[in-house]
Amino acid sequence: MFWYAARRIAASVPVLLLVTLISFSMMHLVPGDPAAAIAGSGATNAEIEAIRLQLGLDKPFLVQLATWFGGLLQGDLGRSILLNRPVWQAIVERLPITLPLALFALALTLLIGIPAGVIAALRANTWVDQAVTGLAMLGVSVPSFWLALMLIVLFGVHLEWLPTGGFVPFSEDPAAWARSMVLPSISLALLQIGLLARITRGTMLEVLRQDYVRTARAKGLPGWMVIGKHALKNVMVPVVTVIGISFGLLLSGSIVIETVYGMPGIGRLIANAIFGRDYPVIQGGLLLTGTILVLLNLVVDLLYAVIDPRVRYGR
Amino acid sequence: MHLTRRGALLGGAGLASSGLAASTARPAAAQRRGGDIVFAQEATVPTLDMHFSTSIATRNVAMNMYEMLVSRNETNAPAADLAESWEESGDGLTYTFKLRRGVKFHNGKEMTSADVLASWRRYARMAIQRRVLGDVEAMSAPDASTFVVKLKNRQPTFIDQISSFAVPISIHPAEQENAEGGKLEPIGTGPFQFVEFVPDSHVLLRRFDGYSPNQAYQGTDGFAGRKVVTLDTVRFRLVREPGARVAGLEAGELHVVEDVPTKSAERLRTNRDVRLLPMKHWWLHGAWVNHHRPPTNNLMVRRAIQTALDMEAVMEIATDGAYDLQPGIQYPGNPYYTDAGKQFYNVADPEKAAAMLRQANYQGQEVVIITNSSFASMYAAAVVVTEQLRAIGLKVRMDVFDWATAIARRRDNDAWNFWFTGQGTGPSVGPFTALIDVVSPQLNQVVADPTLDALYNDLLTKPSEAERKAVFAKFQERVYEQVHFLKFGDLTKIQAARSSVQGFTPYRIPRFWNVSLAG
Repeated sequence: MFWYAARRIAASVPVLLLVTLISFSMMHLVPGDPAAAIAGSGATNAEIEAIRLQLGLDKPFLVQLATWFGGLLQGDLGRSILLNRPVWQAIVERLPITLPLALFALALTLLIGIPAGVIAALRANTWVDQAVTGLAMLGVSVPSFWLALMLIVLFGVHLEWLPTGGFVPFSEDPAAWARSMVLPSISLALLQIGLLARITRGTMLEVLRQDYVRTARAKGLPGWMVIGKHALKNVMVPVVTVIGISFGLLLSGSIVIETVYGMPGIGRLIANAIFGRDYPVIQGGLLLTGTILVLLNLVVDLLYAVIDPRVRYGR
Repeated sequence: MHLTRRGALLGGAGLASSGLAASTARPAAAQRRGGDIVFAQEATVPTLDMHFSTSIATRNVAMNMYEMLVSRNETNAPAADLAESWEESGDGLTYTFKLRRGVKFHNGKEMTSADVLASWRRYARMAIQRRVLGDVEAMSAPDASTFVVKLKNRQPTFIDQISSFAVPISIHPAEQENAEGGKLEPIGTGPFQFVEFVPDSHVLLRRFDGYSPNQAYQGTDGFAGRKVVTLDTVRFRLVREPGARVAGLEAGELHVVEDVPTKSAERLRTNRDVRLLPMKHWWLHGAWVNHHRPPTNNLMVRRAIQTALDMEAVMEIATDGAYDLQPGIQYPGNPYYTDAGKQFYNVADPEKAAAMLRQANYQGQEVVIITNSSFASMYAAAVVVTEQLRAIGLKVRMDVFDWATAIARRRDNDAWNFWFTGQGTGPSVGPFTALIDVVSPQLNQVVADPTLDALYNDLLTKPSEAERKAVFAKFQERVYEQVHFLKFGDLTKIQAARSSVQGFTPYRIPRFWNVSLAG
């Protein structure tokens, strides 16, 4: 398994480089640059050129590309044009916001999504199933910015239980930090909960129709053992895939949720970089996002072997 | 050297506005000391280096930290701030500024003319609007409290230009002279000093206890005035989503917020804990007109378009009802306000427009409108204008980009006919910057208008203000007559504050001196 993982990681390096090369080229092809954004809409060409010179954007595209890749080989992601700091620092600063947010949202997704899906499958075509399926559909369909605002109005303005937005660092006040995480985590998780519940339900219904489940029941195993030991383990294979993708998306940051709650996470970092044409941050952000997705895919693949004994990764 | 006293002590303007200043000021002793105030703004702060930014989000914060030699008072007239007074020589080529004594930087160092000289040099070297100092021949600091500027040519509007806070000439310690754009240490002389800046989240300032208020004033007066700070800290928080800003205000987590949506304002009107602070004429909506690309290279077509537009419909949709219609590029009450050209504004006569179009021998060429998705009101205005122009028989295409792309597209002469935008009508813009885009060489995408260029030159060089005002009226009329710019209307920006916030007076940029928190 170790060699399999090593090979997968090695194979992902050219993929990631290709992703960054394509994104670098595409961003430079899109009209607009940081100098024009800084200078404002009424600036003359001469004024923009002067700023471009100050920012080092006057160099030819290939020179900029070579400089960036040269830095990357030495572990340097470059320096943000708009934030005036190294890109890795800008990313690391955002991780204490995005990482716990993603973990809380994932925890909610797993704790609610899987049991809800299982219960719906076990009570298929009853009011319980319809209620779970309906709520899951609602979670998937409701726009997250609207839901976030409704949660703010209810819990922040009317009940005054939770803050309406903003982020408090853990080091400053752990209780306030936890409170600041609640509404964004719920807003972020609801879509994923809906998705996971639906997939778990569908897969569980399929598994419950399998011969080995019928056999397990026929030999008199208690219901919880049939579900917990035999059915659920097989349900987990597609579910783990969905969880992996969801977690990757959560870690890449949610622009909408971060915007509504005023959380300066990875999503806002990349979005602002795109709007301001901050090329090094876009590159660094995309490389980070790509790396997260590649690694999570690998973890998911390795988990298959843990869940399903038939899957073996040899040398 | 023969000196004529131009601005009296405090530039005259400060004294002229003292009545207003007294009315907006509160005796410091009556204010409660302490308190942490939170201001929520809609746009992210890109940098705190005002020399290197046109962003109002930057100025919202930085104008509370930094000061200028000469700034603007409550009515937009130049007013001494770090300067005690200034004098203009008889030939108009030399300006001598006397500095206030005992002013300290946030690092404890006393400000001298060497710091002013270094800050102006930095501005002249790298600031975005360094053209303001384009006529400066030499600058010197003959003694610690005197700063002298020599000009190549007489420039009667010099003080107006250097006191604009569009891209302010803020004063920093001399050691910062060589700091590159965006890399300035956040040290100034203002009443608040820097604590922390977390990009995309907030900027935290605290009271500068070493600040010496300018005793020559009575109270708040634009960016000059007597600045007394009672608050402990001010936190400028980024809250992009308007609904979240309003919710934070209602919950009491935010004390002052900007840009309250019209619908929310209607609801907040009944909330006793909240005060609405509308700022009329905050921003004007309009579109630049390209005289190079057909069919708007034809004056008759441009006039037909101008005649067709119903500005009430455009502004109603664009601003959700928070607007005023008036033809001026400045607003009523501004020193340079004029309604010249009003006969061309908001004609709203599509039948006449269609007839003019036929008269112009319009051949069905495509009219390209460029708007953007970054500012919802600009997008909405473009949608309405597109429909109104189609109704008179024009073939119209609307291109929507993000702001950065829209700016880039504007530089292509052949890519557009109308470019949708907005700009301030208030003090920071003033008559010398308003519509500068239609003057050569500023405007590189539209055919130059020598009459307009000559008028602009007169606007900058006529010695008396009365003459300059007359020229500005002609300038505005020419813009309408030749259809260089289509003005739609003025947007009202609604700020709101908790009732506990006392002494906060709306201005183009929020000011947190002479403000206190009750209870």
